[in-house]
Amino acid sequence: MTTTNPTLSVRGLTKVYGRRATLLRRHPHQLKAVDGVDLDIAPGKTLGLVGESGAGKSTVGRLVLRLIEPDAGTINLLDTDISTMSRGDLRRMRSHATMIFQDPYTSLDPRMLIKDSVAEPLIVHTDDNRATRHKKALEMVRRVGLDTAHMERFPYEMSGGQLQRVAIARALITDPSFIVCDEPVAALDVSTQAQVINLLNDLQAERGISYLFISHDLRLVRLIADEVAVMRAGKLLETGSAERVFAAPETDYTRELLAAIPGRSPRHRRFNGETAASVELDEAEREEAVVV
Amino acid sequence: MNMSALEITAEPHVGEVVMQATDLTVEVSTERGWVTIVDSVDLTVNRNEVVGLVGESGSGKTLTSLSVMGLLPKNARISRGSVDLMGQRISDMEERKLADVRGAKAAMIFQEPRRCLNPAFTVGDQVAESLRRHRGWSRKRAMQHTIELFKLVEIPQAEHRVKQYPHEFSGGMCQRVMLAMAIACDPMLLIADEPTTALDVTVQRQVLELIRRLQAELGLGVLLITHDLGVVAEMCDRVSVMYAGQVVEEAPADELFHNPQNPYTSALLQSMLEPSRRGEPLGFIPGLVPAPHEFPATCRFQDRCRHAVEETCRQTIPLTSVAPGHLSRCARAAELDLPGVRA
Repeated sequence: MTTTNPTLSVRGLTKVYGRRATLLRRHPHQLKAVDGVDLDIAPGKTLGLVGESGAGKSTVGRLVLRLIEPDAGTINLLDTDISTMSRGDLRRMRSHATMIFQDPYTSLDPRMLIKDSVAEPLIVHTDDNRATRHKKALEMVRRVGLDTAHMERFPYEMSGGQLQRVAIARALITDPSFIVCDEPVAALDVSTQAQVINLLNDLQAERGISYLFISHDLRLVRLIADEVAVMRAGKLLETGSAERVFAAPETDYTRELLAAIPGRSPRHRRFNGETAASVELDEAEREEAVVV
Repeated sequence: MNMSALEITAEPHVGEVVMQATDLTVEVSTERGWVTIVDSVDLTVNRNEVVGLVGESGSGKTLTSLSVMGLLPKNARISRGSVDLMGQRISDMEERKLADVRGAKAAMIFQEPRRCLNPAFTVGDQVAESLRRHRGWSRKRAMQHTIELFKLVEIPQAEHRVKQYPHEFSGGMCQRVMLAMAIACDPMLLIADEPTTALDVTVQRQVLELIRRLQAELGLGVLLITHDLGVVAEMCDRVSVMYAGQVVEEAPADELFHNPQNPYTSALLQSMLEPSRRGEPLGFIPGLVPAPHEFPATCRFQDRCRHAVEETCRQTIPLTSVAPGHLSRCARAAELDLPGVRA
């Protein structure tokens, strides 16, 4: 595997939901949830996939790992075409490409101790014995900032932020090169979401992992993504470096999305019942906001 | 009902108190007995202002707002203090009288508008219901007024849309219906509990703008509950920050963002997603909000506070005035130079 090749390269990815036309049903009711999407993610980089609900972001995230089956398109993951891969080969591939979901309370088994949840992928993907699995799990749990005591807990005994770190530990234990992060901090409090983001950044710097980072929060994507892809109604509207997309968006829709980001200080208020000065500030702030 | 009733004739009376909670203390029944969740909260909303109530989950902001509406769940009770709406004490009012006040004087919208609407009735009927209940109007008259309300909250094709069902409305449109319902009986107070958290960012902007517009045109006092400091920055005139059931800081919005006087507020501001922080670690607050039954009698933030000093913070800290209109609950407020948002 050469490092110059992208970790993930997707061409013409398409997923259609609904009924197909048959002999008796001439007019199909079809919804193209994902419509001809092309994506590339370089090793050690983060692609931020943004868009509003229903745009097809999460479907793309699941398609690139073949958690759901695409209707068309090719998926190259780590120089291997996985779009035609057999179930068995795909399963082996999954140790290199994992996923972190939005809500850790539903993505972790509520009846499993944290240590077992974290070690479980090792049972599937390695021949490690129980002691080795436990040792690796403990190392991983410590790496994500938790301690031995957390190993013996159940999910309900932990906070959302702690649990999302458990989910990260579980995703990382097989030492993957690529992780799909689907809204990983959307369910967390502001005070703790930064902890999870910092952890993801540190792990990327340390291990050269590539992320497909799905989020509706443009503030977040602006902070962590190297490349940004904007989706709407199943189609990719634009892609480019994060700096370029935020500084000089090419489509009206992207401009609209950027303009809708809530401000960061009352001095930058865009609308206000009392002070007319805010309207003038509006333009200045927009210019300021795009020059990141 | 003619149109003039919808146009706003009232003069703005800035300073007129719409809602006042004094020493509000709320307990919840748990297996450990009655546990205090909201502790001695003082909160005032005047006409023509938007007050933000900010805090992490578990800070008590939602229970505070529910007690203001007299909507506490059965396992919760106001154990001390009072709530006045337009000068009328509602905290010890019986349920039947309370129902008259609710909707007529104060209304509330919630995070998931769709869950607040009955899927089996048309949206128009549900808005008209409050007019029939509170004003005793006929079905026809109430529906006519509902159409005007739909226009006011900018729902296109109002005459047609009132006859539709909630499933025919998007999330943003449902929130507009909720707003129409909320303002139907000309309340003076609107409580919005995370009104845009479940909405897309472009829809969020439209709904926030609508709330701002209604607030200005109707002279409403708005209590906006949110965890999103960006939303607070855009919407609020004054802000109360809650932590572990207590108000820890209250200040005019600009003052709070640029000159916070409480380490918790400052830490929250540092965890805001600011573009200028790209490439550096984001700020966060280590540890967890203590569980209500473990609230200490001392400073409740000290275990997570980087400025905590043994003796100074290990005592009961009152909410004290640090500047005109600016209150902080911190023993070290005067000596600390806390960072706000970057200028």
